[in-house]
Amino acid sequence: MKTLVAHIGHVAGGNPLYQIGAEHIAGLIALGALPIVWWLFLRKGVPALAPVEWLLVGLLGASAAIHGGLAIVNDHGVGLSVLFAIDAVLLALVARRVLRGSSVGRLGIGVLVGSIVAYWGSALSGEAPDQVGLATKLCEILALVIVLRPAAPSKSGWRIAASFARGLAVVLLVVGTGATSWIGAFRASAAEPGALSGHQIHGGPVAPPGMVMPTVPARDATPAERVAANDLIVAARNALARYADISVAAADGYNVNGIVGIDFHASNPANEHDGRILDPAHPETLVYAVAPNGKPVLMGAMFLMPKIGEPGPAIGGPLTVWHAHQHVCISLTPPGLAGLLSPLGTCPIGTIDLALTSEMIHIWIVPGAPEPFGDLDDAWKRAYLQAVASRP
Amino acid sequence: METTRRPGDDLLDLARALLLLQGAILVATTIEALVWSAFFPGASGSPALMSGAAAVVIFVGRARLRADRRWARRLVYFVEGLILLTAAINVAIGLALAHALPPMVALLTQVVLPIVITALLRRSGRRPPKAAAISGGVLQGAS
Repeated sequence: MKTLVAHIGHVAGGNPLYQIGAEHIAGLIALGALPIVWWLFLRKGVPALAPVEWLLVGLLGASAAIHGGLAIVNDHGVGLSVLFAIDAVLLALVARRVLRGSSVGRLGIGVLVGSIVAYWGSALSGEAPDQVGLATKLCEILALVIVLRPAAPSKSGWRIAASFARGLAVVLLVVGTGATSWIGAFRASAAEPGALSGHQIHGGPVAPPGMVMPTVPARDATPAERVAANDLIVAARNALARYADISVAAADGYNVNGIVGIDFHASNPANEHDGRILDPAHPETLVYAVAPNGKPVLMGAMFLMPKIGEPGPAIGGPLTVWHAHQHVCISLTPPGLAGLLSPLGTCPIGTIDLALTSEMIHIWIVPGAPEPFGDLDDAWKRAYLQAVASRP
Repeated sequence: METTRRPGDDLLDLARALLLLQGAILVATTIEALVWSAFFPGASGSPALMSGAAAVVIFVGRARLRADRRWARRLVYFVEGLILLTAAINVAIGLALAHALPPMVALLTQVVLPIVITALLRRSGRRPPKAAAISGGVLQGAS
């Protein structure tokens, strides 16, 4: 049961993209009640339908039930409730047509396309997509696939072209649903104060996709926490200065081969299992950036907790917020990061979904860094690297 | 042109609809993999390549799907097997690391969809018992 509940609400501090929004539970409850309606309907007799038509009825009925539930319980006002209710009624009407052996007609296509496009609009406006919304849209797209399928196979050129166009339309609908969901998920996190960049969140309620932020009290750091955070930065600067020379880092076990980009993480597997926590002299990872003159520049370090689920020591209170990552796609050929789990529920073929990582924190040791902990702005990094490269 | 429908054709219709959705999801995954590879320095292009190849295999398998074409079904089985194997690993990792199942949509697209497609193709490929018995009888009579 706990494994199911883990996806409900924003309990894990992650983005709603991979969770079930609390306000969408009503939709799931309505879906659970669908078999009762079904049973009442079938008491009048079972219509003779092909398997694909039964699936169509099921998909339309499921979408209608979820929209009906959302019409009753949602926190977006009466206007949206009315729209959900209209959608639910129209979807149920189309399902009824199929059960009676009639064609879904233009009404069916219009209702399904309208529902999917409305979802795109909602996501683009910054409404965070969740698992219930995404599953419903996939049901509607599959219903549309069934509605648009050709009545009979044909070798006529015109019909083949029409079939290809229908297939292309379905691909575009799926790609559009995925793309708008990404935009919605990132916009929802950016809409929260301080949440524009994942590592900069200090208690922001919506984390960016793939990021898990702990709940941080909305307060200023105490004087003792400020001193502790400052001491940590000074200690890290002193201890890590030697790693500006990558040959020293390599000799100490850091993977500095092939440094590229402005955010290269050189890990040290031995340090990940040495039992030391937040030891400035033995970070689990060093972070390098390549300056315009091609030379690697040590920017800072990343400290990693040894065990997943173990919270990092926030010695600086709200100044030192640790974070974890969720649903990261890891490539096996060759090993490396390959992205985040898609809103459509897939990692690329040949990759696996790493559900959760250990907690981690970055410390930036470069002078003048606007954020010594958390995320360092890319524009600032580039300006800094430019300045470093232009030094004689 | 062939006008008579075989008993498995209804199931193949259903499988074709599901394969189109799955192919479209693989196309979206391929595009996402390409976008991510631009974000992660040093990321290889193999996930995008493999996802794109899987999408092509699914679309070709769907287009050539007939009750009497074993090779088309085998193409699809190969991709479904790959997706199910990855899904099994993902479920194991999710339970071990996060003590949670993968998200609902992931279960639908990585577990339910491949299992249903595989089951439909297997059932549509079977000869109906009556027809098998008759053809067996004809063969026995002929010998």
